[in-house]
Amino acid sequence: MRTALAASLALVTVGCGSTSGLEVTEALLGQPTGPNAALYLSVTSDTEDRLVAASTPVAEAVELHETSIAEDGTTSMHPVEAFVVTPAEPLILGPGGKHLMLVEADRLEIGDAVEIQLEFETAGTVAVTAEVVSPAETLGHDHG
Amino acid sequence: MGSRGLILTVAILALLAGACSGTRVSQGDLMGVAMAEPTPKPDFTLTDTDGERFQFAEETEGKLTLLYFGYTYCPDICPVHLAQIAEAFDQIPQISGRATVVFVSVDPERDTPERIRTFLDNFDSGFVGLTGTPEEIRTAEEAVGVPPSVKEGDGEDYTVGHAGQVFAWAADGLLYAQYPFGTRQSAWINDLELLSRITPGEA
Repeated sequence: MRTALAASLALVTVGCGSTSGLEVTEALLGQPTGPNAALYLSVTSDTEDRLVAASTPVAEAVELHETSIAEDGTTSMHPVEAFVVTPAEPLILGPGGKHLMLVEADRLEIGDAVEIQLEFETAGTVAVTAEVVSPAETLGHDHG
Repeated sequence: MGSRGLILTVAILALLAGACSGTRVSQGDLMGVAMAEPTPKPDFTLTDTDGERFQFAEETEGKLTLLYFGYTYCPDICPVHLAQIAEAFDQIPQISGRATVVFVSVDPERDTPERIRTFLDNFDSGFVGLTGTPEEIRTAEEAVGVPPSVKEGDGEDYTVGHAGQVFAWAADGLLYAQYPFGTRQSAWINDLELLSRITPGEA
């Protein structure tokens, strides 16, 4: 039993965080290249919940933002109050869309592990570890 | 021409028009958004990160030229585009020395030449960074044919809405394609490889 508990705790600390029914995966931080950087992740949940805030020791603040791309190709970015996750619709943060913006992010190297605390309205605080990758890598791998 | 010939001609023209309309179609083997007709390089003058005046058409003549508008506080789209291009350059050895990447800041208020240089050095120290007065930047946007950038929000942490695509002129000075955000790395490598084969004299 103790071994099983230790094993499951170890699982939780590697790259994802989970509390009852809510799971955070694929946390990636684009290597900071300017004052701000973008962090992406995915959340699934058994119940509807809202991600309302986040914090990390490697930035002065973390803001919830969404980039939108207009028909004419113009891109713009706006702060939002919360990101919603439902059992039917996972919350997916990704380049060119919803993201967590790290304000005045530290200089970080590719491969670094960054701690981030996510504040959910119902699930409470969820701690996750994000991997620092090249901004190009955040788009995901080519599928042909 | 008989009526059957006319109908056939109209049908062929309609097919061609459909194939070349501005949607994401491949013209030839390009995977970006290919231009229906390659268009000449526009001209504008801004200031580079060494404080020198940079006349776009003259300074980039005879080189494969990529142009992107952005700003250093942009966390999401700008670094992805620039990192993709830098990584593609690393993978196409023959491109070295024959291509120029020009980044035009749309945030003259915060983006000092030093800040732009530091930002670009994260990707490739050979990337050219340009800035200017708001009027000069507006003139450059008009010359390239993108909507003017717009400052959004108040205080220090405002954002700037700007054109999200990268433009690619081959060494012959013609614009062959545009690359919207989300362009795959394999598409960048495919297209830069192809575009780098076009020589200055070839039209």
